Amino acid sequence: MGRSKSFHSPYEIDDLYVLQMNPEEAIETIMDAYGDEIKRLVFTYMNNSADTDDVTQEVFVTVYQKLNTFQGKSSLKSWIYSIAINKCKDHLRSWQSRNKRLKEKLMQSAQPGEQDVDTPEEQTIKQSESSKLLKQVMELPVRYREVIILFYFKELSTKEISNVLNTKEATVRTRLNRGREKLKKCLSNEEGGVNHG
Amino acid sequence: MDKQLKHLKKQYESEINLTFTESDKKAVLAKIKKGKQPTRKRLHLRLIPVVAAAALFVLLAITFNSIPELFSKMRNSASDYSIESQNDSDTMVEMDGAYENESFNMKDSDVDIAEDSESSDGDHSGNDQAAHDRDISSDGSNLLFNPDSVESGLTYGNMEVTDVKKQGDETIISFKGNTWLSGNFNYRNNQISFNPDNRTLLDFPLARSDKHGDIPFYFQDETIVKVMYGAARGGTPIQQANDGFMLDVIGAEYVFTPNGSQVHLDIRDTLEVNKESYISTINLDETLNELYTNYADTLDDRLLNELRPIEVFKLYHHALQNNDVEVLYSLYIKGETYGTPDKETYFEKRSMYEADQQQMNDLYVELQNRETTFEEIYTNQGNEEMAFVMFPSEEGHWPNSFSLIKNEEGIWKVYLLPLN
Repeated sequence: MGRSKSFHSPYEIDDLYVLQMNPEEAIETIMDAYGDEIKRLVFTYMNNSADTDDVTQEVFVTVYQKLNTFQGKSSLKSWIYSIAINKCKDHLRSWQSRNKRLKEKLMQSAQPGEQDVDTPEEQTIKQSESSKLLKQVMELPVRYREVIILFYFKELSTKEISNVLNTKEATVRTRLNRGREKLKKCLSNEEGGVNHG
Repeated sequence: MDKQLKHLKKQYESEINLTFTESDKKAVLAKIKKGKQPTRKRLHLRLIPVVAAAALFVLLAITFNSIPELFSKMRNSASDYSIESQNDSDTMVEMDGAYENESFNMKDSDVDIAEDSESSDGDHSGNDQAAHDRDISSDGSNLLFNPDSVESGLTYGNMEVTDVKKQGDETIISFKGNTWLSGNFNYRNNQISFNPDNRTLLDFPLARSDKHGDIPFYFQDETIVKVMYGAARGGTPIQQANDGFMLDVIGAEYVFTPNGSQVHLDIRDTLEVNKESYISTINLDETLNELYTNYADTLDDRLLNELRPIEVFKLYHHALQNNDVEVLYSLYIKGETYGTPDKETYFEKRSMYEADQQQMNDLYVELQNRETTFEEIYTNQGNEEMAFVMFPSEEGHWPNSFSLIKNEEGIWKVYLLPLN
């Protein structure tokens, strides 16, 4: 798969054209072009719809606020991706989010009979029988999940991923390999009937 | 596996079937409307100085190559500009104030070109230094300034100099603007510092002599950092974070000295953090003691109506010391959203829901009968008002904090596992 062309989606917009708009026009154009894919990207970090809505909105507010700082060192799209990824990570690290997850764990351990019930979000990605692999991707630790999603589903090159994640390209490649290995292991365990949680 | 994953893209897009709806869009626009309107230089305006400087550079390089004798004469005279070319990698062009006034106003441009400013430091003439010393190299190295000639109104990337003060050896340069720094926090000697990644440091103004040095970055208001970057949780030193943090920098105070500089960052407070400090003991005073007695009898939340977070914090500790479990449960915020179980479940599994109570007891012993500076920090997250009561820990780790949230009646209630 040719990664060099990968940054072009049907929604790709002309960076220069957007940069010459006034900020209000620009943000509307950006939301139209990238709204869906950024929301999907945010979901892959949040794994729940409520936080996805909030964080996605925050992403575009930040894009608007920082539009004057965009210097064109990267493409507009990868710049927006890096904002989205940072927002997601900030949210996952935030006191409120950690607290919520802690409470969810407590609730689950207090009500063991109910912990296997799927949330609507889990049902969203469980509709198809063939989505086992996707489900495993979504259950990978964030560091592996993000590179798999950016590489395979967003079709970014390892170089582009390293820029977006502000990490070394070699690290991206290592994480991709480890992510694939983990997926393979999970799938083979599942096929062998092992419950790996 | 590689093939399988490649074929999964369509499934990812169809199964994670989320759309950015019109209401999402409206919500973003409403939030934008509430905030400050940004101003943006038109792209072509931003390009003008860059193109002009590049053209000038090429012109001077050609001139130098073709008529070096003339150039040499110019250098020996009281020239308006100096040009040096030692080798390909350290070519430098500097423009002084006289030249600045000729064809375009360099103060409004962003350009002074230096591919390796270090090699040229020793060659600065007085006139050269009088020029604004903003260096944006063509290979994307740092935004460098000269502390001797930096002045208000100059811009470095997205940061503008708003004030320059000289105090003895020190030059204090204030910046306002907007840039990002990613990196990690450190917490040493009760002070938070930040180690920015070199990559994001490229967008931050640095004094020339600090270009290669590790200068410490501190914060003008540590409270905002503590709340925004998760440090308001008790007990977890922030340096344990595995991946970097991204700071939204809106200003900085750069304290330059020849022996070592430091920077104090001003970061954007998106959580509207407010704080108040109190010097107090953790014990109940007479009024609070009386209120506690009434509350223990009635468990009527209306008695807590006027209380501040720190007072609820004290009541909670008092209940803990007296093992008044009914009072403890009553003080918690209720509802599944907050993870607080119903009363029956709570009392069945108390040890689990009060997993931090040993820490609480240790804390009480540490703070009991001792005047301590408590900080109440208020913040909004979404539609909820939260508060942290923060207090220093003798251990010297991250200050501990106790978390509360306002319920629908406007009463401060305690979060389950408030030290977590």
